[in-house]
Amino acid sequence: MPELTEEDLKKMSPEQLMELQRQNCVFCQIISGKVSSKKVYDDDEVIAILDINPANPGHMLLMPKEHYAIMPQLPESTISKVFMVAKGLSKASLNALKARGSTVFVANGLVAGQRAPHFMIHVIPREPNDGLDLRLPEYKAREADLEKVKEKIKEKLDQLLGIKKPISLKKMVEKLGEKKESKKKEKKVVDAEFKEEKDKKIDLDRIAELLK
Amino acid sequence: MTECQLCDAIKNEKLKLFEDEKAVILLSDKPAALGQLLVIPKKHYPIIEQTPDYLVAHVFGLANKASVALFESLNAQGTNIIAENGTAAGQKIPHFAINIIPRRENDNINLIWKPRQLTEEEMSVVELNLKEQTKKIGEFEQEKKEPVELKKEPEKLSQEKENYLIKQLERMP
Repeated sequence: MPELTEEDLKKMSPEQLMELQRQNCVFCQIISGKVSSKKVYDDDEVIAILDINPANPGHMLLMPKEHYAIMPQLPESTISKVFMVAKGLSKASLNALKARGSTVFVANGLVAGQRAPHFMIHVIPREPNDGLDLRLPEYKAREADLEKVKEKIKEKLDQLLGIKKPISLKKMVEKLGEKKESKKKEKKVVDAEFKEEKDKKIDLDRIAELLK
Repeated sequence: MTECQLCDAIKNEKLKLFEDEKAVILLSDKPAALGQLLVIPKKHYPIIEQTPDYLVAHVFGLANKASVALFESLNAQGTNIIAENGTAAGQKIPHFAINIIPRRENDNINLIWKPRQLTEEEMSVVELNLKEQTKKIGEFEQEKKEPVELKKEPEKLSQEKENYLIKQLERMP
């Protein structure tokens, strides 16, 4: 394959870039069968394979067959499907491997540990004292900090979840007033234009020109 | 005070960021990083395996939105979405919960595991055993809609109507 330079990449359209990502995505190649893997679940939308370098035996990588680089790109129905299957896989590992627990883990972004540009969920069977250092640290957050961060996040979250801020009566009246004002202004402009046209004398020659 | 800390936390208005009829999103007051969120179903289910499918879908849908909210409101460089099932997985409170953690470079949060090497035979055995069990994954449980209760008003109305008619009759000459 010819080496692509940065310039080439800049010239490509988003669709072409996506196609390029797909071609270079090892997981898409696994899904299409070009690269071998150990599949443990396969349906029309999602697929689960064994991680070849597992954290624990039975470590599964669950992913949509469609190539999505990051989680927000997934349609809602796919998110529902893939996580319901994750539950099923967790259950399967408890039964099949007599595991004593499971970790369902998603990494979004390089700093979070995302190692491939193909969205996936890790389902890792757990045993007590299995040596996996996947423990979440905890620290006691200060109330003032919590309040500040809560405000920031809530604003964004409300936007994303389509929650509209309740508007006070006073503001509603203000807004209606504004609307009336702008309508009045519009009317004034239209009236002025109309008057201009009225005052112009009818120029038959001009009209004749236009009708030619 | 119930016995479950998370069931209690659901009522904590100070930490609540979102609520609908099935789940809540809370701010964690003992986070790994400030801004860590918890998405939990209101009903008490200890682990994911015991949580109905439609509810699992619902809370992870919320988790996705929460993750985007962290990216955009806190300028996080990444997020982790983690559900710990069972004490072996580090679960501290037996109430199914999803943690959403904002990540930054050099934030001292270590969620990396040491990759292991299994023999081809070991891998094949695991593959077979899992495939046997994953066959059971099929029909996903849908939410059951509760039957609507009809109110018992018609009787009262007919009684009032009767009295009115009788009154009318009595008025007639």
